[in-house]
Amino acid sequence: MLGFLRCTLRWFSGRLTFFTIFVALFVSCDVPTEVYDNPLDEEAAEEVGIDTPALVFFPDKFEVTAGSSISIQLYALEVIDVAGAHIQLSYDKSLVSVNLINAGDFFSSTSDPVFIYEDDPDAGIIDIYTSFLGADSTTVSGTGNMATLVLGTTTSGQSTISYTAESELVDRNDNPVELKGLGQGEIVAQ
Amino acid sequence: MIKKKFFLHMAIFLSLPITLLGQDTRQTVAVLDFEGRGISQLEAQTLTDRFRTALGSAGALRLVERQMVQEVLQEQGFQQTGCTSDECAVEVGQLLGVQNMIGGAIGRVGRTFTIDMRMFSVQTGENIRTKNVSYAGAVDGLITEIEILAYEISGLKAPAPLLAKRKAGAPAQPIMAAPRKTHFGAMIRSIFIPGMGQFYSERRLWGYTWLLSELAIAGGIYTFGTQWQTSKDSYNTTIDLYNNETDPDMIREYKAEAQGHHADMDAAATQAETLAYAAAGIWAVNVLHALITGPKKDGDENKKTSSISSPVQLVFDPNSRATMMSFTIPIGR
Repeated sequence: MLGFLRCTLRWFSGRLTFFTIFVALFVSCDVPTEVYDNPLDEEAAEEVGIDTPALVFFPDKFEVTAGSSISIQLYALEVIDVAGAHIQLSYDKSLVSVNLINAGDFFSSTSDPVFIYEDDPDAGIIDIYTSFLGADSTTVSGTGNMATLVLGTTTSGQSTISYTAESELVDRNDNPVELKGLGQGEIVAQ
Repeated sequence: MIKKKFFLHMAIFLSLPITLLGQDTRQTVAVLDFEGRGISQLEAQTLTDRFRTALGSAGALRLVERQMVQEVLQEQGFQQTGCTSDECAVEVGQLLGVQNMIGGAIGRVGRTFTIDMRMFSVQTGENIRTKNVSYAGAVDGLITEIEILAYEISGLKAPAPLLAKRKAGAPAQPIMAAPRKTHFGAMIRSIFIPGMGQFYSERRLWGYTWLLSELAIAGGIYTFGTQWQTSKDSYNTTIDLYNNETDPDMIREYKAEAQGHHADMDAAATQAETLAYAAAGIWAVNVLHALITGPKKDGDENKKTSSISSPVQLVFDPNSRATMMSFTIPIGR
């Protein structure tokens, strides 16, 4: 509302000078550029070069103060018949540290899954293993949260967290499920 | 009584030629009190006294004292104000033994004062010099005019200080001396408020046209501006929901909704933009119209008012500084 008031007031005050009309009106009544960049939006992901099925971060951008914590979720995007996963993440050990890792709800929808993780802070590598148990285990498809990380920022700077090529999804027969895209998260600590 | 009159006449007849003419070559003159028309007689007498004083200061004529004139008038049975005819003035002049007489009237028409004055020969009755002047302003400003007339009726040029006093004080203002309206003045007014220049130029229809056009467009801009703001608020709200949503179906729904709000916002902004261009265009044309057409000329006004205006009008001529009566007869259309 304030924007419109400013727009109107500027318009009327602009009557005094010919050119101010245009400047005031058009600067104030601007139309923002459409930006649809939800990392879980399949179309938006494709626009940034991440084809599905994929592993992505949600959110994928953080701007925080140094020393604060962030919660980042690991999502499988538009996957089909997945029964297990090995997710390997790489992070900048000089800027962030792993505080907590929790299982997501993607595999917990039918039965309790196996969820194992290992953090190597010296290497800046996290390995997460999760799967359904048994040969007749069910599978999941679509988009879902596989894990949630709580990271702490140790110092100011810009860093990324990414899926490595070791990450893979498997079906009930332990056959790999094709992954066409691996997302990346950006952390800016100030 | 008869004896008293005889001695008085004898005194005047004997003393004037000796005292006035015998030693002085200047012509003798007596001043009758000016007739007041529209001003009080007291004011007229005061102005006459000032005239006599100024006439004496001018020094070109030899002036008979007012007291002497009054005595003759009383003796003849005239009130001074009653001696307005030429015959009376000549008779008084003859009795006073002066060569010339000065008489006149001070009138008032509206806010304008008129002074008509003449000096005529007692012997022949012919006008030697006539003066008239019109003056617009307070009655006390007449004093300066009277003083100037005293010099002019004497055949002298009024002294510079007196003329400067007239200029600095309350100069005669022509009736038609209202500020002249100009094309530029109309343009400037229309720059600030559309139609204002046309109102100034007495083109009310055009003034209303431009003003209402701009107001209508401003109303349109307000409407589309409101739509723009509403759509923008909705867009921002929906975008926030879209960015925080993790359910793919809801993401798609919010995205479609946001795209709809963005389209509405874009359309409203485009409409407002178009109207703003129209407003600017109308504003520019309004300014040009005010500049080109300018104030109405007298002829334009006469076209409208000729059917109802009087054929007889009082007008003031600033060149001759005289109020004149104008009589107009329409010859045909």
